[in-house]
Amino acid sequence: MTTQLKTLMDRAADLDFAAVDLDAITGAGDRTVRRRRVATGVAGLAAAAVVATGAVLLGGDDGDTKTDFSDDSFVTDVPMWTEGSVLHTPERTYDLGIDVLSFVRTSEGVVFTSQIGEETLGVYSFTGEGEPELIGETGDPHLRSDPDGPFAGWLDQSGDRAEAVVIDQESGERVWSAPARLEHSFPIVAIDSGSAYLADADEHPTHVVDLGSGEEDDLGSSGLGFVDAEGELTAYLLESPGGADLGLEIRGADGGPVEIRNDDGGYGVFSPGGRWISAAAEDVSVYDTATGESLDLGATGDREGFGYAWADVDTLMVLTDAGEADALDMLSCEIPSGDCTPIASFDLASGTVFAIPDSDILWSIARDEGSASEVEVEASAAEASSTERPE
Amino acid sequence: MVARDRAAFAEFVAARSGALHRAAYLMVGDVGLAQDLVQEALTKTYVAWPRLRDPANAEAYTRKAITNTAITWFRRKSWYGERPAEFVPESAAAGHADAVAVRSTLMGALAQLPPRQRAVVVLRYYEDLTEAQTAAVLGCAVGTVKSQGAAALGKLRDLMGDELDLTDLINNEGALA
Repeated sequence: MTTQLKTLMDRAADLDFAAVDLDAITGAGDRTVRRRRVATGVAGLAAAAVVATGAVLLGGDDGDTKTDFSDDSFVTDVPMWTEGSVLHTPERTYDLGIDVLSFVRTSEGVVFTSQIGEETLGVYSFTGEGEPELIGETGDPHLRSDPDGPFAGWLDQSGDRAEAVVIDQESGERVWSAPARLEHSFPIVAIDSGSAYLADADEHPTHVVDLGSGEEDDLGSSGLGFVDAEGELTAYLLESPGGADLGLEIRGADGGPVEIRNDDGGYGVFSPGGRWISAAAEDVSVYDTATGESLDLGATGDREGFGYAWADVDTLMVLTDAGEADALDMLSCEIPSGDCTPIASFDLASGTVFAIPDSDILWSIARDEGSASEVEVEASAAEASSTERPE
Repeated sequence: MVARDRAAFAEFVAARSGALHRAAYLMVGDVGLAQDLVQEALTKTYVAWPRLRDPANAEAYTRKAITNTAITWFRRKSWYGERPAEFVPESAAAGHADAVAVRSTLMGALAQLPPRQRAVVVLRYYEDLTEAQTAAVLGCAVGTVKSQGAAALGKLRDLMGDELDLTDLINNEGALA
């Protein structure tokens, strides 16, 4: 075999490359692992993770789409989920016309992704009336939003250059954008109170930008993995020096950091206003952000599962073991009492994808013929990269 | 929760990132893109690290991630042809006119290959993978590697003319009729 071609390629590639940013790699990788672990845990509740279908409404909805509804407003501070193309709320359902892969809530409506090509997701806006509006394209199903405000963000890849964008869903205008790097370095890690938290490549937030004025403030470098933000509170990962998960650390404008040690980590969601935080653990767990103490949720606290989002200041949306194989229950739980109301039961039997909002996890659980317990939660598998390379 | 073995991963990165960068550069023809590609692929490798177990598996996994991500990028956007001339960093070979010319000619020719053919050239004739190993990386049949390789060599021969003698390679491989 000739060596000339190899020699020429050796010479052509004899360049000096910049050093690999190891911290960025391990930071982004750890975050991906945590997302998968949380999702796998929830899927494991149902004994085998498969595709959710046949959601049975346990109250508040007769299951029909396009039901009569006297209130014209589109209320989003309620338990919501999607099953295929149908968006469910306690009052009614909406047929969006296209299957939903992931979605977030804003005060004005929902922003969701749907497959529109082999490796392309459409980003859609729906505010309760008419048809969903296509507002962007992406290969990354992770969305950001503030359920209390009109802003939602995503990694937009509809143009020649990928960019992180934020829209005001009330006006429909893009209010902020910035060039993005790679899939794993989507710079928006949270949106809260009219501001977007921007991170460097390892997802440590470094700046916060006011989406109204465009002004940026430097957050400094805490070196801690970011979890969530609400008002003046920010939750970070609490790790051992060796990188093992210990729990969460909450920092605020007043007082020192509050530690939540539950030997887990990676997922936490503040209640609106920040009084509570729901954290991923083996059971449903809610903590007082002022003290770090775990709330006694009675029987709810013994349920396998976790609260993945807050419908309002004291209503936690929970996914939990339905007590039988291939089923998950969605509950609406009052905090701090722990009183829960069943909302829906997901029959995990066949091909429809379902999604729940506001989670940093892609809640589409796909059947893997070779492994019933396989949960596909990231679109970043090496075998099927959906990465767009921005400039 | 058990922490990932960052020290072992860091050792792997230190040992292999140079070679991975060079292969990535040959696949995409852009230093900055190659660096991003390697960074992205290593992130995936880090996630998969506990089940890869040894460096050989890790390198194969990373190579597969680089290849498939590069092909995906090319499929999604035809940005490559639209890119402005990039800054090529200095190297030991840089500064020699012939080296620059070779780089320019070869990279220009590689750039005109379809993404999968280009990947086959890099994997087979730069990385020295077998046809079966190349097929495994690309997730295709060995026959596809043969046909893609043959088409790629034929096109390279046409593009580079006397600057690249592929006769023995083509004959040995039976790559072209």
